[in-house]
Formats: sequence, C-alpha cells, structure tokens
Amino acid sequence: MEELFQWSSAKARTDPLALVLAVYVVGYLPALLTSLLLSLVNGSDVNIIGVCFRAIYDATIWPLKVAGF
Amino acid sequence: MGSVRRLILLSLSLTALMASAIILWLPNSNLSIGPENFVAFGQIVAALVALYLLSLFVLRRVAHDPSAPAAWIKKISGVLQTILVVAAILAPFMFATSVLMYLGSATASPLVDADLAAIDAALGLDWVATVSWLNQSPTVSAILMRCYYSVALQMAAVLLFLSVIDRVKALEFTAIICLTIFLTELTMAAFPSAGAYYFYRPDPSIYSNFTGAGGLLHLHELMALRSGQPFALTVSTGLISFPSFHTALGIMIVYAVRKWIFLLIPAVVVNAIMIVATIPEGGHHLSDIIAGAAVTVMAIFAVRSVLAYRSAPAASPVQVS
Repeated sequence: MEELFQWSSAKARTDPLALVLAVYVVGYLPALLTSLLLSLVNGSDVNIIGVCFRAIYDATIWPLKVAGF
Repeated sequence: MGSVRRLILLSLSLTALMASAIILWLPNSNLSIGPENFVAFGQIVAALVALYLLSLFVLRRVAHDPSAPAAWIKKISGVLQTILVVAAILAPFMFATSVLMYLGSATASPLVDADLAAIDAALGLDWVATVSWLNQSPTVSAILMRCYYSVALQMAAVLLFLSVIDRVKALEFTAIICLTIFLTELTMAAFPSAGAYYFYRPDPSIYSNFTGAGGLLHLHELMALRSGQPFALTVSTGLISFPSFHTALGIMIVYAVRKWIFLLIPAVVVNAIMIVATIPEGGHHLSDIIAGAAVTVMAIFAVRSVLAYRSAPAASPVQVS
C-alpha cells in the first residue's frame, strides 16, 4: 500500500495525466462489472449482447456516475 | 499468421459477409432500420475507440516502469484491451446479425413447424404432455426458469473470465459465437419456424408456472414481418426458433470453461437444466434443440480447425557439400 502511495505521489508530480488516466482505466473494470450486474438484474435475456454493450457504454462514463451525474 | 489474427480475421470475415448480404437484401425488402439503431451503434463504437486509445496511452506511459503498481496497471490495461477487442468484433457483428435475422424472418415461405413436430413425435416426444408434466411442480418450474434466464449472466461472466485469463481463449469463444450465429441464421432463413407455442396453441393452464416468454413474445413481430407490410426495426428481439440459440449458448459456455473443473461442473448442471427449459419456457421443439446442438458443434470444430491450422513450413534449403 505504501509503495502504491509513493508511486502515485511521484507520478502526480512527474506525469499527472498518466496517473489520472491510469485511475480511470483501473476503475473501468469494477464499473463494468457493476453496470453489467445492474443491467442483468433489471433486464431480461431478450438481447444478451445488447445488455453487455449497454454496460460497456455506461461503464465508460463511470467517473461521472460516481460523481452523481 | 498467429492464432489471435486468424480468429479476428474469421470473425471479421463473417461480419463482412453478413454486411454484404444486408446491402444487397435490404433495399428489396419491407424492412427499414430506425435511426436510433445507428445512434446506439455510434455511441458504442465511440466508447470502444476512446477506451482503447486511453488504455494504449496508459500502457505506453508505464511501459518502462518496473514498479509493482505499474505492473498491475499494465496487467489491467491488457485485460481491458482484450475486452475491447472482443467488444469491437461483436458490436458490428451483432448489429449485422440483428438486421439479417429480421430480413430472414420477413419471408412468406411456409413455416416448417409441422415437420419439426412430426420429427419430435418420431423421436418419442409429446410436446404438450412434456410441458404439462414439467408444469406440475412449481419448484421444478422455478428451477427451470432460473436456469433459462441465467444465460445472459453466464455469457457475460464467461467473456469477462476468458478476457482476464487468456486472450486467445476469449477470441476463440468470440469466433464460436459469431460462427454459431451465422450458421443459425442461415438455417433459420432456409427453414422458417414460429415455435411450438404457435404450432400447438396450448391451453395456458398447462404452462401456468412458466411465462412462455421465449416462445410467445416474438410472435407479434414475426407475423408482422411475414405479412409483407413495411416494418421499421427499432429494438431487436430474438426471432429465431429453429435452431434453438439458447441450446447453442449452453453448449458454447460449457465448451469455453472445459479446462476449469470448478466452473465446468456447475456450467454442465445449469446448462443441462437450461436446455430442458427451452421446451416449456423457450417454446422450442425438440428438433430445435438438436439443430442448435448440431450447429454449435459444427462451429466449434470449424474454429478449432482454424486454430490448429499451420502454414506449410518453408522447404529446407538444399545442403551443398
């Protein structure tokens, strides 16, 4: 955990854009899983792949969703 | 050519083939595609491209970083890229396949349900009696329904699992999905069927513990398409009765997880029950199930052949003494 903190601190100073995008990329998979589960719980199996694509699209804007938009 | 490229090429070739068929067929049909479909498709493509570029950027920025956090970011970005490649293959394919399914259904060719029912009878299956028997126990019906509607979750879980574990396996699964759907739609267009609920028109009391949604919900759209009246495609729903695509999915999922025993055993149990449920809940004839299984086995063998194919080795140079 400490290594992660030090790495993040160093990255924030040297390459902040890469750090922000890395956080986005790392957060994408949990967002995709959450979105997928919510879609599947709410929907039926009428369009299986459609549900997956909807989840991919929704997860793309996960920082906005987390921010409450 | 490597395995990854061959599998991607196979899937993209099927998409191109279907797109060509649509370009030729659509202007001569009663089907039109609603603009909302293109908007949804554009959103998905834009999301996939943006995500791929972002993950590529992150990968490049941490490429020469030997630290543990950077190694994790590289691993996660790699998994994300596999998911995006799979999605990028499936997005245009599924768009094309939905349109082609509607085009294939918009035909006045006679339905083959009577022939399928005759085959079922020859195989010893009394469809009405079977549904009535399965309907007797609310517990049995509930288990069958749960397994039937678990297929979407299973598909998504398997695709995610394979993307994390092995890129080649994820692409192999994707190619099998594409080829199975392609063969299913060819069969459906050649032998149109409306399903067992349409053919037998059973009394609702014999399937009171089921919704029969898989076998009933598509009938309105199917009959509208077959009537020859103009039809605008807005939201795509499954119209295929013969062969059973749920059966195909069940076999594909079991095949995909065959190397992981802790996944294989539950997958076999759940999908065996799911395939039984395609009769009362999906409204399938037994012949649909057999055809679905046959189509999937053919697709699996074809994809395995593509994977096993090796370019002929170059002739060894002549030794000159």
